[in-house]
Amino acid sequence: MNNLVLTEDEKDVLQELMNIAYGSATAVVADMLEAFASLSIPNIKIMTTEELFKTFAALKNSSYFFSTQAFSGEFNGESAFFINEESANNLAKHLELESRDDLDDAILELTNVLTSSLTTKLAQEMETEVSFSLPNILKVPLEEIEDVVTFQLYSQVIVIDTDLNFEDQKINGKIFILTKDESISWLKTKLNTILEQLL
Amino acid sequence: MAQNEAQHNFRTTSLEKKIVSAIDNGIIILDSDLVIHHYNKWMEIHTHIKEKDALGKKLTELFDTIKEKTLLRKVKTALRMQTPTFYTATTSHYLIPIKTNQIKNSFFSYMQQDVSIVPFDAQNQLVVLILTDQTNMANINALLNAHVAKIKELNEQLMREKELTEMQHKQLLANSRSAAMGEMISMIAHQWRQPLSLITTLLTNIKIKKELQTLDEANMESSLGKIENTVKYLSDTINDFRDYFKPNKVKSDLKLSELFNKSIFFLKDEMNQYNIEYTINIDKQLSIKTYKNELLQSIINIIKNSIDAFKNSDIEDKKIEVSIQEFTYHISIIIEDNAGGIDESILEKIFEPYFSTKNKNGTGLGLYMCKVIIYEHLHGEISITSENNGTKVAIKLPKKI
Ligand SMILES: Nc1ncnc2c1ncn2[C@@H]1O[C@H](COP(=O)(O)OP(=O)(O)O)[C@@H](O)[C@H]1O
Ligand SMILES: [Mg+2]
Repeated sequence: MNNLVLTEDEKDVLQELMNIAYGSATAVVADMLEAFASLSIPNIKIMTTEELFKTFAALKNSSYFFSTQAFSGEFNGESAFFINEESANNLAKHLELESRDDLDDAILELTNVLTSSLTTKLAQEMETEVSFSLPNILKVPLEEIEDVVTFQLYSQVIVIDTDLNFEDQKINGKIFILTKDESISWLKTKLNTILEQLL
Repeated sequence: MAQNEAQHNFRTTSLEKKIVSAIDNGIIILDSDLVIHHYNKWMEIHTHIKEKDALGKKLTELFDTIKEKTLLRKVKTALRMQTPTFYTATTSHYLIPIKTNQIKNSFFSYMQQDVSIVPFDAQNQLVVLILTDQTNMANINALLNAHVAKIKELNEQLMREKELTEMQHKQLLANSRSAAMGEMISMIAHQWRQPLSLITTLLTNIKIKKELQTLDEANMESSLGKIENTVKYLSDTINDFRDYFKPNKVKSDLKLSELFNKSIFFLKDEMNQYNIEYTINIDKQLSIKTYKNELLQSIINIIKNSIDAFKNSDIEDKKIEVSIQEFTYHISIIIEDNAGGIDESILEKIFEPYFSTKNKNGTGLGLYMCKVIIYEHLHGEISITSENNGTKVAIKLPKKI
């Protein structure tokens, strides 16, 4: 569907909004972890689900923790957070965690923090509200991720992908914000209103 | 005091108060030092602690299993971000230890909880903890996981067994083939006995004549000619056998009368040797479309069994009778003998691989192979019955496969 493709202008606006959002997310994450954290400038792409799987596949050469969190509202979708084992272990060390469950919990917290700070800010700028479901760790091996039903609901996804880095901590992760067709068209309308105000 | 203020803020309407106490969730209001500012009815009931005893205390004081550092972090993050933070039942299991005494949720001895920490009052740095009982769900999950694991295990077992039977099946077929080969060699030996002795005779004659110096050109010519013909016959039989004993890849139109002639050609020496009378009742033109060599091998196996059965018997008029009938979509082949029949007690077993009553002379693979060929390759049926001291083999084949 052609009307689901973002124009260059629309992409620019979205990028601007994301830049604002990731700035505040960085601060919150740094606060939570009591360490200096940085997020890379988010990279915005619209891709088909197959392309997304390819992107996921590229991540799977090392073993990963993978968590997701759904958000709802006019702007709705799901976020997917990847963190590799080494980073997860460093995170555990940094937070002085004792068990695997504690580590899972910390990863979920990170997922929640990243998802909500990114999307809340984005929603605010677009004058809407989002609410968040509980995040969960997917215990699915990455090879089988294509079978995960939720992903098959997405024909097209907006992928907002950013790397999380704690330079001295050697912790990095990758978060994808995924939204589907109806949200994409809602987003387009919103982006255009913002665009018109700018002109 | 700040505590009273917060309570006042919170209890603005009696409607909200009623909802909060009636709701099927645990609700606790905490400040950023984890001090309790509200403790709803649900909490009172489930923890056996009254609100009046909880107010003003730190939550970690009431429940020393709570990891203070983690809770503080979550509360601070919620307040800082102004969006909820969570504990999930799947990873954290529970925040507030509440014993469950339910038989149905047998996996867990403590209530499994999802906890949302929702920013409530930014100015006073208050958050609401909302506890949801997820024990049922967690229990179902645990059950499901146990089942999934079991199913995976069973599935793997099934796959292994399937592989094994497939291997056994292949091995059996390979064995059947070498058994068929063995039978073929013994049949060739039969076929060759006569022509070989003819050649020996001719050669001996030539030798004697040469000794006696009576060997002339014409003599030599005619003997060599006979030898040549016989050798050709020998190589023809080899070719015949070879052609007929490799499986067909394509099905062909097949005249049944010719097929039976061919089978008898391979077996006639032995039938003559034991004085067996062979008759066939068939429409000479009747033909079907099928795999020729597979059917031929089955027929030979069956007639060979009849011949074998006559070997140790003193029956007077030994007979093998074949009759073939045509129906709309199929044909039926009946092969009958009067060689004594098959004992009721073993009738069930004769199609089993390696079942034989012939000691070293039988492989027990003949009928097994017939069954595999007829059912799996030719899409037909085979059954064997025995009465009146005779055996009756009935084969049903589709006219076309
Ligand atoms: N026409 C028959 N008359 C009597 N017994 C038979 C006949 N055909 C088969 N059988 C019995 O069935 C058994 C199995 O036959 P088969 O599978 O061909 O193996 P084999 O011929 O090597 O013994 C034979 O050993 C024999 O006991
Ligand atoms: Mg046999």
